[in-house]
Amino acid sequence: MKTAGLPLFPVASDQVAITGLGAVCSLGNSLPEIVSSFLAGKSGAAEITGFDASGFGCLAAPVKNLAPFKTDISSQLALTMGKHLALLMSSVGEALRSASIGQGMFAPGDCAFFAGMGMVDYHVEDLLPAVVKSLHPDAGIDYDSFFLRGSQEIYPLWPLGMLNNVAFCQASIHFGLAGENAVFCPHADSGVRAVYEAACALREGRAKMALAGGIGEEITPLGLARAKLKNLLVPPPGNVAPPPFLGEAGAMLVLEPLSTAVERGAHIYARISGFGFSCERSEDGRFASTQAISSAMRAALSDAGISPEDIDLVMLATSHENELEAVLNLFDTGALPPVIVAASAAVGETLAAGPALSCALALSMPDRARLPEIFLAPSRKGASRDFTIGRLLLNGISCEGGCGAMIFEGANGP
Amino acid sequence: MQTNSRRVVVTGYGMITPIGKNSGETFENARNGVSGIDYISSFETGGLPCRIGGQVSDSWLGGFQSKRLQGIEKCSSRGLKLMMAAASEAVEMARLGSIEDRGTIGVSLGYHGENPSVEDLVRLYRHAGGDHWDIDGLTRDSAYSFFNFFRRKPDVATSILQILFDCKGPGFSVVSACAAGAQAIGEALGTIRSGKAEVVIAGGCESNVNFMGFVGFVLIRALAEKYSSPDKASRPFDRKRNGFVMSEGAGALILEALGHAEARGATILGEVLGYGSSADAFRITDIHPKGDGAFFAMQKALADAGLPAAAIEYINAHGTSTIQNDQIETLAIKRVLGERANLVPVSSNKSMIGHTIAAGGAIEAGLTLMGMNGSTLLPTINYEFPDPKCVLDYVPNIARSLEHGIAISNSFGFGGQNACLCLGKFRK
Repeated sequence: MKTAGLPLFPVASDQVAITGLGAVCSLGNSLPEIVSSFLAGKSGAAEITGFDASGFGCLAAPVKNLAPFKTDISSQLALTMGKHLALLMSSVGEALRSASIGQGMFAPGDCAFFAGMGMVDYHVEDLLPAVVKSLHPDAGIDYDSFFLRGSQEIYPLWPLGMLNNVAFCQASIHFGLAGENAVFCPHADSGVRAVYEAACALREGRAKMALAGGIGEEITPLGLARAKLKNLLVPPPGNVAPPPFLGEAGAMLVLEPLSTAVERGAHIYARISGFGFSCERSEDGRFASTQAISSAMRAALSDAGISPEDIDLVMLATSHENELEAVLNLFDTGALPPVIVAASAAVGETLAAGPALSCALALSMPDRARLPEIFLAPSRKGASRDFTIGRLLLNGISCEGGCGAMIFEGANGP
Repeated sequence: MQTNSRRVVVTGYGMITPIGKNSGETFENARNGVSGIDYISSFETGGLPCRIGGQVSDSWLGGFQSKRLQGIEKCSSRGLKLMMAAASEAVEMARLGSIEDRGTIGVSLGYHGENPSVEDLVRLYRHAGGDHWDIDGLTRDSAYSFFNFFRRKPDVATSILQILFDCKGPGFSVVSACAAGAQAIGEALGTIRSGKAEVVIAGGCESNVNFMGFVGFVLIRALAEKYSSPDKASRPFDRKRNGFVMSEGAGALILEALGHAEARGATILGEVLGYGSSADAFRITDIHPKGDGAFFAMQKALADAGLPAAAIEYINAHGTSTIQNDQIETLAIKRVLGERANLVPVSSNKSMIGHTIAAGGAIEAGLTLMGMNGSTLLPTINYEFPDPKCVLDYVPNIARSLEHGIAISNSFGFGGQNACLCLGKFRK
């Protein structure tokens, strides 16, 4: 096992470093708040208050009291983009500040931007006035009325807000990020994919700085319905832990070539070591198969040129039994096993935001932190120990079968 | 983290569009300047300022024959069904079934999921009116399928494609509006170059010729509203253009590492030489007035391919037929090509097919490769009245014979995401 310290690794031109972290979730609206609450064993789960969710029978972890932000768009358009925009703006802003990157430091065309964006759900209330105005006496729809009168009730820019990439584009406008970009969707594997693409853009010289991460889903009735129907909110068999819940979150990482980051004196949180991807649904079609999850982790280890025993910390993507089984099978090698953390027990299932959030959380923890037992994976309970992050493996898994894994070699947090 | 640059070739392509149930038929009709735009029959358009679109015939769409797949069909949107048709053609052409290690095959799909129907909104209203959500009641309502929730999720389509074609490698869903199809191909290129996959089924699909998909674009006044007949409505670069024509379709390319393709004796149909993306980072509803985003995407694609602008022999334009896009794309092309701008042919397939949103970049990449292999430049139809602000050689109205080996294909998305693919005829 390696221990962290600067410089942990030789500076090579093709290495990519993480120089900035930003996150927002139910535990806090900045990373220091989130880390403090996490280490105190707090959970963001709460009763849902925004609408009557009694039919869903679950808790959720919303982000509260987000600081207002300025954009050059109308407040109604910003509202149409929903919480996605606020989560993205907040996490990008914090990440850039933590990397000490100010306006003009990089040319806009040199700034890449990749994100996994959670589902954008239409608010039924945005459309209902149009529907109600078009109802036929027999309770059906009078389509002539719908277009002549009903559709006038819909905010003209509403359709733009329904595109997953529009909040992303607004953030690129606000922060001047005009370089390479892509938006992936909508689960945790897309968050890993975003970091991978950013690392590739930097390694290949297509960008000088990159932001990468993800934004989860807003807690809405449609989102909860989707999660419930996919059995995402049901505890694994035999699990005594509370049932899973959805959590709102956004998280972003600033990536730079290691050599130039060192040159400008940037704080190096970690170096990116490897990625792995795979895809296969489980037999019941409700989650990724254990084999696919294992395959992505093995590919990431191979990409990084290391073995399972070199990993100090595993951040689980979900509370699903398939992931835990794959992790335990791979890492129970007889040597000192890695610490396995289920951050979702604290912040909920944060989907596309999960990988970057886990990364930001892990890399921000103070040296020799003691993790609360309640956030350790079930088989690791009672095995809490002080630890320093050396190598960190993070998963990003979709219930549709997509799997991503990434490995960081960490320096100590700030 | 290992990366190594490898040549990436195309070993199969497929498409389904309003002018053809496969790539051959689409290309032949495009060569003959056939328009696929007509009055919309899939829903009642009374009262709408635009009543036309490009529709794919239902008879061209296959079903799920196997019992094993019937459960999947319930989750399948029309967009996915279009993609299945396109991908099946491409997979068969590339003989992907012969590859044993399925973990080396990935899927990269540009798609935005299915829109809700107005009828479903009424059902939601009944069970979710006011502040109370009766989700159990909603799903008990026999008229409301809970599969609606999954048809709207883009990654469900990606995942189903992986199941249908037994692909266990990387799978991802790209959602960057009209740039999504080209971005999906660009991301697949990077995935193969870096060794994360040997083969990727890449492309895009979309079906927005339905009430909620259509009304959105009506509201933002993006669609053509003035036309003498439907087939005359999509007229990129023409002075009388006044908006785009909504269409549906799907396109797929099989991207493969050159060494892998050669080792299994695959027929090589072309090469993806480079990819570039950029953001306008200007305004959410407007294109950068100098075409900066489009210019940078083209420049980056050329740089990625290691080619100078002088190497470009043809440009497959985004060419939507909106006043703003066509003028600014022209400007950006002139910035890239400089003095050669008037010498390089530029044409828009959307003049015949309409705008298929996420599918556009993939369909157009496929047609570009077919044009190169057939020494044919597809025309821009309905080019009748030259616009003094659009002064390039748009291959007006009639296809042209020209041997050419290097082309770029542009795709620019709502919000300002831009993508450009550099494609080449395969040379050893």
